[in-house]
Amino acid sequence: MKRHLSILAVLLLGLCGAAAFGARPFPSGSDAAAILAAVDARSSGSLAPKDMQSSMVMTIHQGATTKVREIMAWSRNNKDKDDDRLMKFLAPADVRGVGFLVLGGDTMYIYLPEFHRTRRIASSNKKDAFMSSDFSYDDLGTGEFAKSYDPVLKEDKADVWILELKRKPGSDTAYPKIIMTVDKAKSVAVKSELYDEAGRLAKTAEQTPTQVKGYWIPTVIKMTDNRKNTSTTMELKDAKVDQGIGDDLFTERSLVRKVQG
Amino acid sequence: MARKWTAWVVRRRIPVLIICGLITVAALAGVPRLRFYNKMTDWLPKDDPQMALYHETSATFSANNVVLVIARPKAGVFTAETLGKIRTLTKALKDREEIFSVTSLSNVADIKKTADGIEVRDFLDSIPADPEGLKALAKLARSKDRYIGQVLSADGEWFALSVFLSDKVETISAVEKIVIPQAEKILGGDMGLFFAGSPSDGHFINLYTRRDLVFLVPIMLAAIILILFLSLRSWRGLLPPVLVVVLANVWLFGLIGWMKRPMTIITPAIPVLLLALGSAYGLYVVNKIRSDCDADRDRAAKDRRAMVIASTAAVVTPILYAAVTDIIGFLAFRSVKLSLIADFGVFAAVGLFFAAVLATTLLPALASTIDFGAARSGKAHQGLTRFLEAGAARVVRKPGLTLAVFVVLMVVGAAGIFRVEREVGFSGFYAKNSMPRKAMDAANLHFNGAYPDSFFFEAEDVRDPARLRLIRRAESFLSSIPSVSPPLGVPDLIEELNDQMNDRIALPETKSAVENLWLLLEGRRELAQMITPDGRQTIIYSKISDPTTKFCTDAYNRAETYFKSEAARRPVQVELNALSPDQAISVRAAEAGFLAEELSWAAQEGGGSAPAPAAIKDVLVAALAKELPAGRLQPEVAQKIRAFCFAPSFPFEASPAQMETIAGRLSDLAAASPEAVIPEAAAVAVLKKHLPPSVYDPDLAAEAAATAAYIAREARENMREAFLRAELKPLIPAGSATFEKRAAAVLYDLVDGLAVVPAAEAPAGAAPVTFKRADQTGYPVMTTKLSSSLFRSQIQSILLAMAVTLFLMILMRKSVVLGLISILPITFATVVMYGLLGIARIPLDYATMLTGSISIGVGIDYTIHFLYVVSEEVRAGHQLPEAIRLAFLERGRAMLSNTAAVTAGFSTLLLSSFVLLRSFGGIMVLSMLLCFIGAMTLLPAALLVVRPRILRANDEK
Repeated sequence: MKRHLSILAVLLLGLCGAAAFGARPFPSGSDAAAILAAVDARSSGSLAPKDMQSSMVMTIHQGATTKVREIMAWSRNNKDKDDDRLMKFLAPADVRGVGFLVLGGDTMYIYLPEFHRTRRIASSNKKDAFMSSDFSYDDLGTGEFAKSYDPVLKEDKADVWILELKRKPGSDTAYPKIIMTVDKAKSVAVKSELYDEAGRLAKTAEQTPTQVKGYWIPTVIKMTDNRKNTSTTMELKDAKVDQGIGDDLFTERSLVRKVQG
Repeated sequence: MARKWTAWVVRRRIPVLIICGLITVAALAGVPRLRFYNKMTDWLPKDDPQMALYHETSATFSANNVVLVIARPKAGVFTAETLGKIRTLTKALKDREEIFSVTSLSNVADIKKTADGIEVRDFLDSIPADPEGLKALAKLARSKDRYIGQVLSADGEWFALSVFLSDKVETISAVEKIVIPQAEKILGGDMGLFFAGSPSDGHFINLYTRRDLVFLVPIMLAAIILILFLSLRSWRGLLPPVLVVVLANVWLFGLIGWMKRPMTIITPAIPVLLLALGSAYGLYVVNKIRSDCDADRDRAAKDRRAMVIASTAAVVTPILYAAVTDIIGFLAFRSVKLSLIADFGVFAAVGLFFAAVLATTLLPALASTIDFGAARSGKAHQGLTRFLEAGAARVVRKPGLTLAVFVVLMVVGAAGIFRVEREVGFSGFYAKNSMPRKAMDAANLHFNGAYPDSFFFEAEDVRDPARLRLIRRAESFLSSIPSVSPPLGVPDLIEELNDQMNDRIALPETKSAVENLWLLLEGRRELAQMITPDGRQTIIYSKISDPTTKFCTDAYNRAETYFKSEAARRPVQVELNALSPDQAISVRAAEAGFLAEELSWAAQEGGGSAPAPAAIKDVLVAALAKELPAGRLQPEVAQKIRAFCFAPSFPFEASPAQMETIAGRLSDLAAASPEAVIPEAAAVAVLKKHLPPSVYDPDLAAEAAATAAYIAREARENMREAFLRAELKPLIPAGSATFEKRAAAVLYDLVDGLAVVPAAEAPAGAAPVTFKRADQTGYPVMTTKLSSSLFRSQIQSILLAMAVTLFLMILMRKSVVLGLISILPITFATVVMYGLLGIARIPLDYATMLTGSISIGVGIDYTIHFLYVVSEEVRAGHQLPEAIRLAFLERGRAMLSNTAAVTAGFSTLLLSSFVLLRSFGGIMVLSMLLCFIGAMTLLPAALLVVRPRILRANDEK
């Protein structure tokens, strides 16, 4: 009996330890809601970094044309709304110094260095493309899936779960249906197939997560627009998390300051 | 040979009849596969560079495949229900892969300035439920000059959706199967719905042509049968020629169906053509058989088959001569570049071949089995004989006078030919109260037209600041052409965004500034219709509200002149700050002259009047030399500097008192110079002096100083632009919102540091501003090319037909003189007919251009038959006048019957719903009469006057 209790205690401790170090929260294989909750927790919830700084390379492939943008990005996790984000363009040279500040996902400021001017932009059209990439403003949002979608577990494979997410009535997200492939070990969505109102596969998002200080961060995200045959890849480099980024970074003043990079 | 052939056919009459039956059944099976296809751009050869560009821009920008869905809802546009329907329809269409994009009230961008920025949304992001909200929405929409004439009419009663169809699909089919059904389903019946634009034209042409073919052909047939019955007085006599025509049509259209060749707008002319020519083949056979049987009734009763063989053999040769001439004449159309006409030629040739084969095989086979009835010598018959004899006598008596009259008529006709106009646009073909015509009228009146007119530019980077100015210049030029809607291009989007972000409607002077703004523009839906992702190609898009050929050709020529003259000036770009003061003044004056042209065009706005560029230039040069009004610039700069210092984005955190001091000191720097210049080094010094050391940062100070200097410069430029506009007001009073925006953008060019001027007026070594390609495209190009091609095709086809006919006639008659005389009647008919077109101002279009060829075919048939009898009678020993008289009697009846019948047939085209086919019917009636008169009058008169040697043998005896 004592021996059994010891083994049990070790197992329990081990489980707690794994959880503390950011291992997966072990949702049940048949519990789609729990799986989705775990994904949300990992991406923007309790298991996501409090803040992050990284440099980003965005490569946009449009037919024979390829555009490359280098961006320095900071983000801060907000509990009940989208993250605060600050992005400063490093390259190409013509747009170096352009800054975007997004507060809570809704309020956006842009700084245009050539005009020495900051402007607030209120855009209700989240479906528009971000910087002509295949990501829409909606796609880049960090809101929780569980708030907008009802999940159903479609397949339980060896390494992944396949969820079908159906948009909740009254939700205004762009995609009525998403087929999400979730890595079991990391509780991260590694692939999402996004369907449009006509039921066609509109876009496919693929992520490659990398562990940074115990957090699974998608360091490579590729979005393919299946209708237009274009794709955009975002590659995060030198990601630094939980640095205690303060409020003073997410201000218009920061937007104007030059970035060394 | 003819006899052997006919004997062979008569001996095998049963198999011949069976084979004809089987072919007919097979052909009928092909008829359900027939389809109409009227896409004008497919008729032109693709090797023309401008047509190649047309197709390229259609594929890249879908610029040329636009359908306007226009509606006038009874309940009004700004009701929740109507707005909801517009939104639903927009969504339903734009999700389809056949649709490139849709612009409507629902998704047109609504960008407005707010206190500290801009707000971007789709116009119908939300639909108010309350009447006050709807009223406010209506007022807002009607205040936006970009909406009026695009998605909403000026009176607010009509709305439009611009549906750009993908070039990857068959556009007419997309209209028929997607756009129209969706619009009718979603918008409903009480909307007063219309569809305008080239793709919908193609749909309506298909629809109306199909209706006409089904409706008119039976009527035509009935009319012809009636006339033939009156002439032949026998059902058994008239049915064979009618059968030849009907079967020839069935075989031909069955073959077209099996070969999957599309039918076009002029395909309905083919049954008409076969009726005109094919019925003649059958009539000659039937007439000959009946009259021979009537002349020797005993022999006909004893040995009918021998009679049939002899009679048919007597007419087979001239029928085949006529058929070969016609067929080769129509096959010559294959050399014409307009595929519409080339295909018509082949169809006609094949149809005539079938008619000739049927007339010389089926009819003798039938005649040897069935009695075609006797030619009754009733009163009408005798009356006709007397008429023909009188006609012959009149011609034989005064051939010289007859010939002279015809020559005069031909001279008058020739004079009229030079007044012939052309019309190739579908818009003129519809009746006034028809649906497509009403749609076109609505589009022209409320939405600046439905037909695209675009300018295309290609370069390494079309977003280069200097190139953007030239593209905007082209927009200004395009806007000056009457009946052209205000153009929209990439410069407009950049100017609009610059205005919203920086309060100035201007094209930036540096590449970086353009790219800064471009970051915000990227991803906007409308960009796909204006610029390629790599930034190498762009179009300026506008519409025309006058799609007639005359206008389109004029617009085309104007644009050609524009591009040529612009290329000849070799524009260059100059950085004014790099020049000496004197050089800068000189270049500025040159720039003023260059921009004065642009202002003059812009002021003309759709064909109005404007001051001459020279006068505008003088005002601008004088204004540039003046100083800004004193006491206004510095306070403006001071106000903006203060706002900068107190903005949340000011790089330094300091107390209000410190900010106030800094703002004051910076303003003092501005006040120290008349042009309010803030030297950056001095500004840095101010910041260093008045900021706490713990806060001061040299990099941030440099940034802040640069911003202060920029603010001062911007204020100065804004003020100078306003001053220039005020100086111009006496010469160019306030215009439309569109003009004022254009004027502001042009005047800002004159106050910034970049100048684009002709090379001849620039310092040596200035960098050229070039485009790899710059050209026009769109409806005027297509129309002009079609019109030229139609004209060339017409000339070519007539000359070819004449040449081929002359050659064959010389060959057949073995006499050059006789060959030349043979083509006199068709020359007369052609010249007089086209002359009348010019005098009566009936345009040459797809249908009327066929009248020449048909006239030649009919005319030469009459000539061949007439000459054949004349030659035979001369060979039989008669003198020429007597031979002519006998030809009148022997062939005159058949020719008259044929002319009357075909005239009656063509007259039914006057019932067509198409103006095009109505004109064609009327012209063909005239043409048939001219052919008959020419063959029966001019031909014998010429023979009698010239007396070719080959016909003189008996005279000498």
